[in-house]
Amino acid sequence: MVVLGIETSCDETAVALVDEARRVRAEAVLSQIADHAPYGGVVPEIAARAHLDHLDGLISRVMTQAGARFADLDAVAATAGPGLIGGLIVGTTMAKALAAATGKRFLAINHLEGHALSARLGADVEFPYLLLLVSGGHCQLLAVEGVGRYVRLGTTLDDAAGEAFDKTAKLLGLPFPGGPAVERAALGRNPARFPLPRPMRGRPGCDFSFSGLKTAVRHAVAALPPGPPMAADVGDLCAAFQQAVGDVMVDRTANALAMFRARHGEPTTLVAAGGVAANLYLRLRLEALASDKAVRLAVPPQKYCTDNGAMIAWAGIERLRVGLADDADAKPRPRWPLDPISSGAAPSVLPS
Amino acid sequence: MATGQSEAIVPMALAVMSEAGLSFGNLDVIVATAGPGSFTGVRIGLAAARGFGLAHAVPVWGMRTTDAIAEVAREWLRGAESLLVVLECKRHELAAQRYDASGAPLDEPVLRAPEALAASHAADAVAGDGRGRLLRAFASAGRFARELDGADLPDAAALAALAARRLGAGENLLAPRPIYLRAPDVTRAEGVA
Repeated sequence: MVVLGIETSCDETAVALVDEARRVRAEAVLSQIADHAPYGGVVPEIAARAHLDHLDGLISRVMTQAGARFADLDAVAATAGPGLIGGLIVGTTMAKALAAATGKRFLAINHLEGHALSARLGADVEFPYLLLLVSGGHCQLLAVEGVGRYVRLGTTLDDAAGEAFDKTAKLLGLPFPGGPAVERAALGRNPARFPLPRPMRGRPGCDFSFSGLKTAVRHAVAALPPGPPMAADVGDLCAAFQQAVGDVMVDRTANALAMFRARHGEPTTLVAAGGVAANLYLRLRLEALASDKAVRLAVPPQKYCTDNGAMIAWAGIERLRVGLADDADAKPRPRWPLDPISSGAAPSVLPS
Repeated sequence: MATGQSEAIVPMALAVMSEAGLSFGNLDVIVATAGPGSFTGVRIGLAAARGFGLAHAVPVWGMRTTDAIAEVAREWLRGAESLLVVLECKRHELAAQRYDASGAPLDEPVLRAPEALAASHAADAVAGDGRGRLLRAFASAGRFARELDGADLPDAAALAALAARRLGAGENLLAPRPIYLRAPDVTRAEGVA
């Protein structure tokens, strides 16, 4: 089984060809970071324009690199949400057209499902497992029961973790995207100099909140001497921020493991995915937690933590294997919760 | 179609191909409107066209929305009348382009307020879904043009026929890229170089 995966939900145009033996036969990613950097964040119209400019070229490049023909494909999979609607429209429309014209099946993939299943592309990870999904747009803890079966245990009440990194970076005059910049600046710095809050820590459940932390960073920046902040101040503040995020993440994930245990029995694997999972400091904190709780930590390779086409292709393979596919009139969905069960009003039930 | 183009386009193309008894690999050329028009709508058409073309290495071209309308409206011109095609673009400005009596473009498309067009774009006849607003601006400016009301939006058959005629005459069409006529609405972030 061979599936072409297309990802255009944010600021990366990504394509990959993946087979059932978990081989990524070819892949290409075109980052638009430079296009958006002057604006300090992703501009939807700029993103939509760039996706259309580059997508078919990337598809051709991937097919050529893999030495594959469209006739060899079993399906074309594209991210259909959640994400920026302009990019989703370009990706799904071109994917549906390509699938229709080649007589192949089309799969409308939930971007979050792509992240959720990406750990299974690189390693033997059996269902069920606990997923910590942390990226620029998302911050959730989910029980992954199987393909298409996700139960959200907790989510952010305000900003996503990656957003908190971006906003902190902006406050400190660091470049966009903020995650890698904050991580670099924090390296070897003193996290104890600036006391920052740990929002939600010690509270029942496993929801997140980052707005208070962001406000505390803003106050700390405002209290610095006037003028551009000194590198030492920036570094210490980044280290303090990162440690606060790490403390919160460990606390919330520990609660989620308990919630998972109540629902599914003893968890064996904790999967961390999404761009923020590429942060090495946070990864070490999660390693320590996993070791403490006697579970295995699985983190996809860095290039499959950030947005990529391989995880979309792989989610397509997983769905095809259980007999799922979509029609040529599938609709892109800018909002598309992975777990319809807990997206309603009912709060998660949890042991405190 | 106000919404739902991204859902409709592929099934619609499949239905047309099936009715014609053709497969995408039988096509010599695929042409899509490249704008001016709704940015999202233009991207949907071009993304579909480029996807269909990619499948069997069929060349894909773009064509101006205004040209497709002029192709229909020119039939109704009298004598040497000139034609102005004006299109709504979901904002105050209208997209506009002028043509001679044969349907050949006289200038490049522009995006301009109706009042400004009334000063800059004189023509004998007006077509396109923006003509109502333009004609009001014409009236305010003491200008007159004949209203042609049968070609408000581009017609896919006219588009294909025009593409065939131009390619047959050895002309190149446009690259299959959107004609936006306008930069994205963005402001630079404070404190970002």
